[in-house]
Amino acid sequence: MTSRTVEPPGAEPDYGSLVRDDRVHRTLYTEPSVFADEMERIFGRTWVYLGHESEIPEPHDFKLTNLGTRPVILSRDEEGTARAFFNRCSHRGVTVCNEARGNAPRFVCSYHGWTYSSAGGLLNVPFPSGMGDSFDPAEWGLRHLDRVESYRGFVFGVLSAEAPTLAEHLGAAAALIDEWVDRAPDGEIVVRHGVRRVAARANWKLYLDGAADGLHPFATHRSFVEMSARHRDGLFISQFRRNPDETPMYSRVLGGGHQYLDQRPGMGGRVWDATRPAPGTEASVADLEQRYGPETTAEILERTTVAGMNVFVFPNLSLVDNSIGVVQPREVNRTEVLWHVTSLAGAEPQSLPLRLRIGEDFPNFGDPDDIENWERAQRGLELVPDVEWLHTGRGDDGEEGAHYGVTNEAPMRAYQREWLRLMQHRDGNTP
Amino acid sequence: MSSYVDNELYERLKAFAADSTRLGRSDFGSLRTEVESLILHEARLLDDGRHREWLDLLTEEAVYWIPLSRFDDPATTWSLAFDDRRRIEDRVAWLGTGKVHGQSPPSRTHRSLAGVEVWPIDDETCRSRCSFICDEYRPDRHRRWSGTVDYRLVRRPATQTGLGDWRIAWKIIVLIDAEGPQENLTIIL
Repeated sequence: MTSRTVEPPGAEPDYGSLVRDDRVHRTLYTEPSVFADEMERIFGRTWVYLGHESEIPEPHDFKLTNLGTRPVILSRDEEGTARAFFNRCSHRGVTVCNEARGNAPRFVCSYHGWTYSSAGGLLNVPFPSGMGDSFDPAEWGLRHLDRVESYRGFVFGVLSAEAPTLAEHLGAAAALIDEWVDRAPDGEIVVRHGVRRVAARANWKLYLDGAADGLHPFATHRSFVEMSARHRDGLFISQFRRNPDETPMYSRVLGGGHQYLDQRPGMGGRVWDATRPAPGTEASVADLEQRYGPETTAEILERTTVAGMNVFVFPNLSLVDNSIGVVQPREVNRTEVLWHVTSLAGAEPQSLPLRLRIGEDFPNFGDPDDIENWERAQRGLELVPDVEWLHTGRGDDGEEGAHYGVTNEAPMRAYQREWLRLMQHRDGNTP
Repeated sequence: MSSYVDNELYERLKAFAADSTRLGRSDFGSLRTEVESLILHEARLLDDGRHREWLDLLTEEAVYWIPLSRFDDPATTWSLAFDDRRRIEDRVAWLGTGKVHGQSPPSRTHRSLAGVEVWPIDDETCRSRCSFICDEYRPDRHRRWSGTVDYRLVRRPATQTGLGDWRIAWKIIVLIDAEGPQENLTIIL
């Protein structure tokens, strides 16, 4: 995958010259060699989101995931510990698991039958008497990620023994994950309600560029805004129907390349009041009011509707509305975003269908306009080598923890600095 | 207002979609001719961008559903699309804004329907299933959506003499690759 091992000495790209205060170079989005370096130096070195505990609740539950482009099995072993190892048979490299999710106490390779446990250890090989005395099964288990840690149910893995702890990596993002998860009465979210896989012919960083971008909605999402004006005097998404810098919405740089955009201050007192009607809204509200009364129902609706928070954890975890988006790079110009809608543990079961229907709204009428623009950006960047730079200089960088007007591109510049920090370290150096 | 999407509807939809795999031989009498007339007309309206007329083929309590799997329960699983009448009308309005970037310029689509089967339920209701391929062309890009459609159809009141006499209550589109990566879906399937 990477060409680094055959590069002549001195061919190391000068990444520092490609990321500047007000611009970045087009080749970050277009060069296969940059992408190969990213898979080594970013996804092969920093904490990467793998999945959620609630996706593998029982012993031997597993799901397939990825560490960048590397296929990974996230598995719960017999003792209940979440494990992550490469989906690659130690014998000849075959992917030993080929179902997206399920429950399996054993992974049996389809090629020669090497058999592994749900903890990734090699249990047996066929006809072991033929192996010879020097074969040590302990040496030939599925290769584990160096470390796997979990925060509030979010499971991360890292391919480096020297990486900081997950808590250190998350830094200021942890408190926002808390806030997002603590909408649940039982303080946990549940990720078992289906995965939408969205494919874009675009570089994965185009997603990151927009993770806390409050400037694009007025242009990109005009269709959503205009359609929404059909209902209730156009109250919905009104936070983006005027200059968003003149609203109390703000963005923040969280350190470590993490980004945050808080839409709630622009949505009035209650997010529910700024929520578009969804299929079944009236029936659900009536049902809830009958069961719980109007006051409790108001609280239920406020945690059922979208969070109004956009939290991005570098390099691949995005919390948007009530969904977890996992940025999945495939090739330099091909990306998937895997969207998992969540529910709230301890929430009233009658609120779940409404939450799901609300969750479908923006993916149907907002995401398509984002994706189209990423793909247009990718085309322009690929096809016009004569224009080298992208402008990233809107607004000034402030002090750590500053609240920015949401059109400020400071969060984008911040993730690019983290990207650069990681990319400037070759193998053998701890960033 | 839209108060017909409730738990009972979800139960019925779930059973209806799953039952599609357990149906026996279909009815090849005159009912099939009527239904085929309706759904061929529907396909042509969508191909020709006549969305307002397409809306007229749907009942007031219509459902347009593209599940992630035929066996999903819409009360516990989200979908590629799950629209009641209000959100279907929103979808048409959305396309009508002229500001959907993925429809600028608009896609050219061509739907091929095959294997139309029909099962009577009662005098006013029947179900139908067919295979479809929808080719979508956008500048420099040609893609194909394919799968099956399950329809629940109801007869118009006798006082009206509408096209084909039948209207679409439920349209359930099961894409063969619904669980796989999807490129931008901006058309109505």
